[in-house]
Amino acid sequence: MQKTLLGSSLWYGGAALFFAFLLAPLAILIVVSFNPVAMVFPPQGFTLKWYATILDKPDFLQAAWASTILGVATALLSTGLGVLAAIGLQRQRGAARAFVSSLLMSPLFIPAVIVALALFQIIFMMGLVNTIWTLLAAHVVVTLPYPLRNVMAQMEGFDVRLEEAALTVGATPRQALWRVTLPLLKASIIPSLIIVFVLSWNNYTVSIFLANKNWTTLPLQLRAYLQYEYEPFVAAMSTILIVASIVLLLIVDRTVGLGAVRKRD
Amino acid sequence: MKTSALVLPAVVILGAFFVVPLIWVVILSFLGAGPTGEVQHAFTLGNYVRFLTDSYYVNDLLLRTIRLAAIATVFSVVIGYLGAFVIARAAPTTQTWMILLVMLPLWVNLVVRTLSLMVVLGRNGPVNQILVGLGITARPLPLLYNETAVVIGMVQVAVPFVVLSVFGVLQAIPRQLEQAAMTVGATPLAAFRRVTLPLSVPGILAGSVLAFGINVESFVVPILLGGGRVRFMSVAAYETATVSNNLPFAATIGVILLIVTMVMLGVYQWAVRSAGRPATAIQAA
Repeated sequence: MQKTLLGSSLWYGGAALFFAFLLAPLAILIVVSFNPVAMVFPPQGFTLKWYATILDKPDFLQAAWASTILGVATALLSTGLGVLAAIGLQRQRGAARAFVSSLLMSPLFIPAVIVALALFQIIFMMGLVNTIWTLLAAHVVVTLPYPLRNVMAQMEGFDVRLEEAALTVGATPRQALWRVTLPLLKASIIPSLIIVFVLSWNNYTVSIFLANKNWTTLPLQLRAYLQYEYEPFVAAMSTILIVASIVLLLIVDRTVGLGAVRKRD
Repeated sequence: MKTSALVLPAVVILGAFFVVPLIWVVILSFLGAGPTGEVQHAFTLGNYVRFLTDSYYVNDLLLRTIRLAAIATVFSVVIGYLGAFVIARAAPTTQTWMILLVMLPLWVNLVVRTLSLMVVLGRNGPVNQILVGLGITARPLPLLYNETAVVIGMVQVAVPFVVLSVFGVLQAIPRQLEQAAMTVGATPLAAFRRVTLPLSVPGILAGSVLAFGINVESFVVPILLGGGRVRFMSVAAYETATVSNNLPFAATIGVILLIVTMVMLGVYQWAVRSAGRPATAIQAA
């Protein structure tokens, strides 16, 4: 199929079209961020002023800070719970294990909007207000399946005898956990931390229900801003987020490989 | 130390912040709401009756959400399959980079990605410039704030997931099978259609169910690209809960969306089982 000239040009043309469809919009948005005039492509000049204006927008800085805190906390909690649960499930067999693991994976199959709606309604009806804690809990719940699955997948190829050997030579169970099991699981724990951070950092649907004024996350702030202003400043802000995503993606790819972090596949 | 106890923290958190709220939403959907939105503690089917007898909710909301999500899924699967096929046939080093490029959008904030489509599809955006420049249309087309824009947005979101699902399956198919078919006289196209395509059905099914699941609960894409004109279930649930303060009816919308998802997963299970048989037959042959 690739032998003929027509065939190979069709082939490369198709590949180019596919990647253009996927990535050209982001590239265009990056270029627009240098446009001094308006959100228009091609740009009518070159400026960096929109990047400088970010520092004049405390709302965005605060939102970025909120998203970072929330993302880090979610990553630590969700991955921690996932690792513990995976270790706990490791020795289990049969119906109990199947039930518990499918329970813990179920947030993958339930639309996140329903989880967020449910939490919102309980908080509202109990007369409480949204706090960072409910937001954090919701982020943990919807991200929990990812670390759990990563760690459980790694444990499939895990030699339990290593842990038993440590216990035989006199390690306490706690020492065996910290010195043997957890170091062995590092290859799934680190990508889990990163993937959960990214999922939390990017989350919109859950946050919109549960955020409050003090904890407006970056995606919410960006969308709120878009309702009133449509200027290249948002493109500049977006460019920073795109570059940050590329950097994180490359770090993961160069350290542990991307096979470990595929989302929802 | 009993290691099985380590699963408890996760179960407790999930129980408190996931299982209990879900049960509560189902219960709430059977309760009434007063004129100012206060919840009345008496069982009623009124919310469901109201939803299912109002053509606005059935046609403009539920069926539109399902229809647009389904259309977007079909496009995502076709485009995603082509992408996965190209990647699967590329040289190993190119392949690594291509996968990286496919995963990149998944890591970028959805508001940012949707915003990029607003720039591209805008009245003076590149797509309209090309269309006008080529003389395909005299005036810029309204590409934004309508159903087409929402479908394009959902396809953009879902394609990487489809690529990754299909790619995994395509890679597991031995190339020799296709070559064998061509040795015995099949054209490349026939070899693809009779060998590779049927064997990749599990990937197509998994990709479809992922794409539909993501699309049917779309939130950001319809609010930004639909410009308030294209109503979606998730958005309606949000607005009913926060703007109208009618919690029971918001719960009803949520439960109906949940039922749609469950039915889709059921169809998927059924499709996997019935598609599994011919595929194994080919493998055995």
